[in-house]
Amino acid sequence: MPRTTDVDDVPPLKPMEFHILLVLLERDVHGYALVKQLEERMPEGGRILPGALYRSLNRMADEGLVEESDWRPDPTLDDERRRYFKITDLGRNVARAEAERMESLVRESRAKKLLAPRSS
Amino acid sequence: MVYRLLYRLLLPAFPAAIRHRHGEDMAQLFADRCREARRGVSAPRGILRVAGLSLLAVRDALGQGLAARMGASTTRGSAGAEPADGRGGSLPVGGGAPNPAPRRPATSYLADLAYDLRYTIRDLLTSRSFPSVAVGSLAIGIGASTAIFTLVNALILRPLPVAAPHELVQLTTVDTGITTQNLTNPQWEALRDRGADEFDGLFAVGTRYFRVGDEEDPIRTRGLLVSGSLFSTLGLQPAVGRLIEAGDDVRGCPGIAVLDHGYWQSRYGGDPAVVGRTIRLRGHPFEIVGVAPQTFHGLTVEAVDSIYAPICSEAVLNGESSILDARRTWAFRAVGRLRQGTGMPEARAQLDALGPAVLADAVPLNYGAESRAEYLSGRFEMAPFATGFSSLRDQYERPLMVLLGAVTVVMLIVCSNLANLLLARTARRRPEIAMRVALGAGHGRLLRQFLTESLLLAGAGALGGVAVAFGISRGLVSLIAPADGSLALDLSLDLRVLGFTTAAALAAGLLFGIGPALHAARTDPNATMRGRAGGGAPSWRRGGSLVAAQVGMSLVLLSGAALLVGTFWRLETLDPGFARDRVLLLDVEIRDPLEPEPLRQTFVDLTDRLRAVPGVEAASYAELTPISGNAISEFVVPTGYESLLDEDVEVLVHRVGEDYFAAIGSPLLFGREFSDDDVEGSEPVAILSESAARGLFGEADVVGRRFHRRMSDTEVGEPILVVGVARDAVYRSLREQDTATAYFALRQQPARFFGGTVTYHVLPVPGAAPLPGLQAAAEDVAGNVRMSASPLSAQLSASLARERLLATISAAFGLLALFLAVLGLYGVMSFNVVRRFPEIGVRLALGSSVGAVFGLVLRQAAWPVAAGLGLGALGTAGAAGTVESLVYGVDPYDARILVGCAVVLALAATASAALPARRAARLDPLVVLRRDE
Repeated sequence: MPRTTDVDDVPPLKPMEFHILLVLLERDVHGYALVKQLEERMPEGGRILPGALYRSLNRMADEGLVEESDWRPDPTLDDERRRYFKITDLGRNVARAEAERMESLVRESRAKKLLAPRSS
Repeated sequence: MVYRLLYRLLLPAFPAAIRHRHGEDMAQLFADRCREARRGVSAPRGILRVAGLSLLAVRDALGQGLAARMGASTTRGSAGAEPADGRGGSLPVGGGAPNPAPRRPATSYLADLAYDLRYTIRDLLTSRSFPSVAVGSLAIGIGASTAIFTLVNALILRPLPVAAPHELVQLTTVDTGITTQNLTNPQWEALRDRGADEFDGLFAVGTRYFRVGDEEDPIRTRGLLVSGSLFSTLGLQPAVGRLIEAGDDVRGCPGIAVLDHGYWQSRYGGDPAVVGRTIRLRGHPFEIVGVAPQTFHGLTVEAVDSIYAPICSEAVLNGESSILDARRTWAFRAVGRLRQGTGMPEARAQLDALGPAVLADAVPLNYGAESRAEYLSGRFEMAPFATGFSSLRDQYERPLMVLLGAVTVVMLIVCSNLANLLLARTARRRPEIAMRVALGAGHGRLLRQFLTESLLLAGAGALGGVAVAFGISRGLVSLIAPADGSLALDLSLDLRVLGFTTAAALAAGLLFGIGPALHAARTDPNATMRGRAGGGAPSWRRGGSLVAAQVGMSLVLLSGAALLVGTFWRLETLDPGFARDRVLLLDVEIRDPLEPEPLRQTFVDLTDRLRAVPGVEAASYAELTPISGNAISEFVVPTGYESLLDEDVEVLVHRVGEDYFAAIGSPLLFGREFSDDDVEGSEPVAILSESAARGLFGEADVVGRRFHRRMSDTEVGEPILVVGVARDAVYRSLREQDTATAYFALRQQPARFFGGTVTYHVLPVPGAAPLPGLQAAAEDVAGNVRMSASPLSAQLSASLARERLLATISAAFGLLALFLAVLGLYGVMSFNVVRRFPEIGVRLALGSSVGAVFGLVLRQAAWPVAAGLGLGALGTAGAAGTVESLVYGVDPYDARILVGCAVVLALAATASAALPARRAARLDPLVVLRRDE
């Protein structure tokens, strides 16, 4: 799979992928922790299963948005079987581009009175 | 571990790239989720949650796997290619670059799943009978499989609840090709003291029944004598106090005891202050030092050991008759834990090196040269011990495997029935499917829709099955439990059982769903929408071949059931050589301490009193009762015959009282019964069974002849006079009818042969109820007695538990299979008749007679049934070998049984095909032809 290096070459992010990048911006995490954080962002009762998560991660890794992390927690807490993921520079840029895109959409929505003007 | 294994089964759904890169992580994530689902809730609730999660994971894996594969293929293909699902790709949103390979967002699959589920449930709810038939039959099939697997799991698969059970091995000795499970205490001590360093600990245990409590009212309680290393080797921690340690197990030790957790709860109310208190075992005070952990109940799968005491304290229990130095009492089993990193070969090599010295240290003292050489030629062997001891396992392993095979066949029949029903449903839904295809639904989409339906049905069936299994497995246990109910099998639903149920449900869902789903996905909308007969209707051939398969499998099950029911019936009704339904067994225990001689006299006096009780025809006593599971055998030689060793006759030895044969309702063929003159010191006499007489002397009437016991390789005992010849009777097992038996007079044996308890055999006058009289007589003669009575027939019946289990379950399976096969044929024929309405209408309009139409339909049914019977006959012949060792009195290759079952099946099949045939023959051609216009 060819790796893209430019933000513009990356197809638009799916909501789940964007959320994954947002979680990884905070710290490197393993699959289970990622799922727990993603589920906190979902409506009550939402559940993410291994197939959905790792298909997304696989695709994002192919596109160079995430990669395996060398970071390990304190050895007493570590479980060797777990693999940690981190966001790449490209991932960071793509996330930013996505956020900007959303911001422009929000701005447009306000202009068209779809949303109330910002109260502050 | 199990969760990870379960998820690995799903990994093939994903493309290799994902599988290799993330497979282990995915399995780990699934395991994490399962553990989370079970956290903080009760076990059954946790298991239900895990089951739900597993079903979701299956759906997730199938959906995501398929999506990933499709994503991969479209990316590899030319830009702009249509995605395989035919619904068009999602539009790029916002300001991204043009999307070279449009992918469906993951949410769309979730939406599809939600849609599929909603659609399936709505659709199933419109038909009342189909979902209830499907879920009901799946619940029965999955429930029966799970129940049998629960038993297999409890008895054969579940490891002991100790640290790393797979490192444990049992040590046995083998000499002259015979494996001995037990060691003598001198052998065990020699082995222990030589220090086998390839083992991380060795221990020995011996099962004992202790009389616990005060002298007035002791309770017989099962316990273990254990070496000091038992608990440490197993890695167990006490619940209270401490466990038995190496320092406790030294010769001359005082009596100490560790209690089982359940025993501690029930007898002491879980009081931690029990430590330091005294418990009386066989009247001797033992100090309680602690309580074993809650999960550990000893090393025998089907029993609970309530009390543990160190082996050395056996001397406290038995005093002068202690077996600690007995070199011919094989009373202990030894188990070792392989050192980490040590394989079986290293451990075996060490045992081979230590073995000769260990055995030499413990040679039985009175062995002759040959016996000694044979003994010393022995060596130690090892066998895996992860699952503990079980006598039931040896007895039931094969029957359970046979039943597991049978229930698999039942499941296959259930699946083929459901496949047939689904095929018919698919045919009815053809116009709707064609419409969906025409509107752009792809093969994959339809396939998933149909698989959702079958997996949903299978999931519901599995839930019902768990409930069914709960009931059936307890029923099964009651079939194999001894009369006193002392069977403590742990039938809890663990992960292994859950995994089995999930796998069975998945396999069933795919098995009965995939055919109809593929069939539906191939629907040609053009043909279907143009004409009723268009492409995609399931062919008669397919339905017919499923019926043939069902009939074949049913025949195998029915024939098997006939053999096993026949076996049970033969054994239930055979003449055991005594009055099986009349004899009453009376266990009388004299509880006043008496010296052996007065004790013997009391028992003999009691016999006379029992005979005098009104309603008693005859009464006697014996050392053992028939079919009690115990037997003693000896080699004997006729007098005046210089036999070679290998020409000795082996006889079962049975020591009995005066008039014993009258008391069991089996008059002698020749000679006399033992009498009051046959006492210790008088000329030794014996009564031989007819087989023993013929074996020893070549004829039946051998009264007056003499024979000897073989004492050693070169010596024989004093001559024994044959005073009578008895009918052959069963002794050890109902299956052994003509075993050579030598009966000796119990009163000619030393007085110690009469223990505290004697079993009287009483033959009541038909219709009499002499029990109160017997009780009064016993109390009158012996004072403080405990008496319990049971019919001999109950003992015989209990000995047939295995046969009863096999007969009951196989008969149930056979009938279920017959019912399902008939139902399947009925379904296919009905469907087929409806399909042929136009053709039949034309035939009738052209003058075909009602009989001809009836025959037409029946002939069509005859082919799959005949083919099925042929296949079934082959299958039955193939399967005969697997039940050969389980049957008795019937020949598994007997063609009459096969033909009988085939006739039953054929008749049932004809009846089930006759209903649709009658419907066809009663058609009004005008109505049919008009409808077809």
